[in-house]
Amino acid sequence: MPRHQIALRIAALALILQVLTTRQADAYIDPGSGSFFVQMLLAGLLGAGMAIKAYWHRIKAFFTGNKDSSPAEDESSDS
Amino acid sequence: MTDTLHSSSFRDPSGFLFRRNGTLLRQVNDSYAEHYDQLMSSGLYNALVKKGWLVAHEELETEPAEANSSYRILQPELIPFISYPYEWSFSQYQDAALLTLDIQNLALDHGMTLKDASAYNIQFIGSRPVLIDTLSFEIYEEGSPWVAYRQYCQHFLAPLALMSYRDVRLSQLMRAHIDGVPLDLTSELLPKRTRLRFGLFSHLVLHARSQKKMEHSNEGSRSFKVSAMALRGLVSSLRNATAKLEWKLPDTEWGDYYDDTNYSDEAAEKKAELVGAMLDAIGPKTVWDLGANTGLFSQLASVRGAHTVACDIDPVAVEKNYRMRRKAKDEKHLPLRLDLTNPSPALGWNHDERSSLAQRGPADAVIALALIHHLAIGNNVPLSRVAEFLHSLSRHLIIEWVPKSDSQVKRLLSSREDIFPNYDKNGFEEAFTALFKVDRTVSIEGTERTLYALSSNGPTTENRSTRDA
Repeated sequence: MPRHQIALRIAALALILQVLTTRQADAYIDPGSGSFFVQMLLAGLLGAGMAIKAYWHRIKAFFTGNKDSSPAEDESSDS
Repeated sequence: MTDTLHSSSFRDPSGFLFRRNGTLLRQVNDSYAEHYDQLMSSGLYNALVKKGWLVAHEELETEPAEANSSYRILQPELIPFISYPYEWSFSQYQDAALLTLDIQNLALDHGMTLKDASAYNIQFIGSRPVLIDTLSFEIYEEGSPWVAYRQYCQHFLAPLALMSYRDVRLSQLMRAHIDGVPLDLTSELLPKRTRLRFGLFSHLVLHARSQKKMEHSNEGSRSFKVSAMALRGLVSSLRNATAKLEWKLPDTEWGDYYDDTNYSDEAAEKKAELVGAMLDAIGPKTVWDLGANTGLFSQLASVRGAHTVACDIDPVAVEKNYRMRRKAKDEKHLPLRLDLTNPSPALGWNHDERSSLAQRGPADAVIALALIHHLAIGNNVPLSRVAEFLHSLSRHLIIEWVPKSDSQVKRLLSSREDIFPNYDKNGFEEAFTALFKVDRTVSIEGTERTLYALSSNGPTTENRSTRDA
C-alpha cells in the first residue's frame, strides 16, 4: 500500500477514535477551562502545521514535479 | 521503624515520598498501578533512564508506608542538591523547560503523557537536568488535551519569556508564585513586540485572555478535544517558542572579575594550590562555593569528586559558569544564582514545600573566597553574624580574609563613611573562633589576604539546632 494511503487510514482511524472516546481527563492539577479552550483553538492550527510538515516532501514534489518525493530517496539522490 | 512523610509530595494522589531510617523512598499507590505498569512495560522508563532524563529507581520488597493504598515501594536515585527555578540561570531554566517537552514527546511515543509539568520536578545533577517525579506519567487517551499545558506555560514559558524579553531578574517571580507566574501578569509585563511572536502570543497572551474569559465557566474538560496530531503540534509549538528565547549576556560589574582582582597570575595560582590542599585535608563529599563568580575555584572541589554548588549573586557569572559546565558535561558542579544577603527561604504550603538554603545543608565544606568584605562592609553585617551564618551552613569552612588595605575593600569604602572599626584581622579571628576551630592559616603570597581552614565546633547556633531536630 502506498505510504500516503497508510497515513490517510491512520488519520481516519484517529478521527473515529476521537469521536468514539469521550473520557474525562482526571487530572490532579487543575488544567483550567481557559487553558483547555485555548489549547483546542490552537490545536487545529498546529495540528494542520504538523500534517503539512509530515507531508512536506510530497507537497514539495507536487509543485516542483520532483519524483524523488520520500526523504530517504531525497537523501540518496543528493549523494 | 519510623517513616517521615516528605513535605513536598502531598498534592499528587498517585503516591508520595517518605524517609525511612534516612533513606528516601517513594510509595506508588494502588490508584496509580495501571499507569505505573504502563511506564515500566511500554519501554518508556528504560528509554528515559537510558537518556539520563529520569531518575532511576529500584523496586523494593519492603513494608509500605501506608499499607492499605500501596502498590509498590521504590527507592529513587538521589539528587546531590535540590535547587529551585528561582535559583537557575537563564540557560539552566531553558534546558529544564526543553527537557520537559522532550520527555512529553517521548512519553507520547509510548502511549503516555505528562500529567504535570512542574518546574520543581526538574533537578540538576551538575549541569544535567533530570525529571525526578517518576509518577508524572499517565496513560494517554486519544483526544484528550494536555492537562499540564497551563502548568508548562506558567512554570516555564512565562518566566523564560519575561527573562528573555524584559529582565533576567524576573525569574524571581517564581519565588512569589508557587504555581508559576500567572499568565495575566506575564501578558502585562511582556513588551508589546512579543505579540508578533506567534508562540508567545498564543501560549501566553491569548492563553491569559482565555483564562480570564472562562474564569467562571462551568464547562468541564469533557467538551474539549485535541487530536493526537494536534497535541504533537502543540508540544512542537511550545518547544519552538521556548527554544527561540535567548538572553544576550550584558557586561556586568563581575563579568571580567578575574581580570580585575588583587591577584597576579602567580598569586592566583598559589591561592588555588592552597585551597586545593585545604580541600584535600577535609575530603568533603559536598561543597558549596559561596560567591563563586564563574566557578574557577569551585572547580577545585568538583574535580576532586565533591558534589559542588557554585553560588553567585550575579546572573551573568552564573550563566557563564553553567554554559561552561554544560559544554564539559560536568555532573559534579552545579552553578546557582543566590543572594547571600537574602538567601532562598522556605516556601509554599505550611512553609514546607520548598526548603531554605540552610535547610538543604550543612555542606561538608563551604568555600568563601573574596566574600567577607561584601557581606561585612557591602551589606553592613557584623563579623560575628557572618560567622554564625556560615557556621549554620558548613561543617568545614575555607575562608579568605580580605583586609581594609585591599583595593577591593577600598573601593567598597570609597563612596561611604567607614563605620567598621572592628573590621580587622583580630575582629575576624575573634568572631570566627567563637564557633570554629582553626585548622590552618596561610597568608597568600603577593597579597595582603589570608586563607583560613576552619572546622565547626558543633551545632551551637540556633539555625542548626532547629534543623537537626
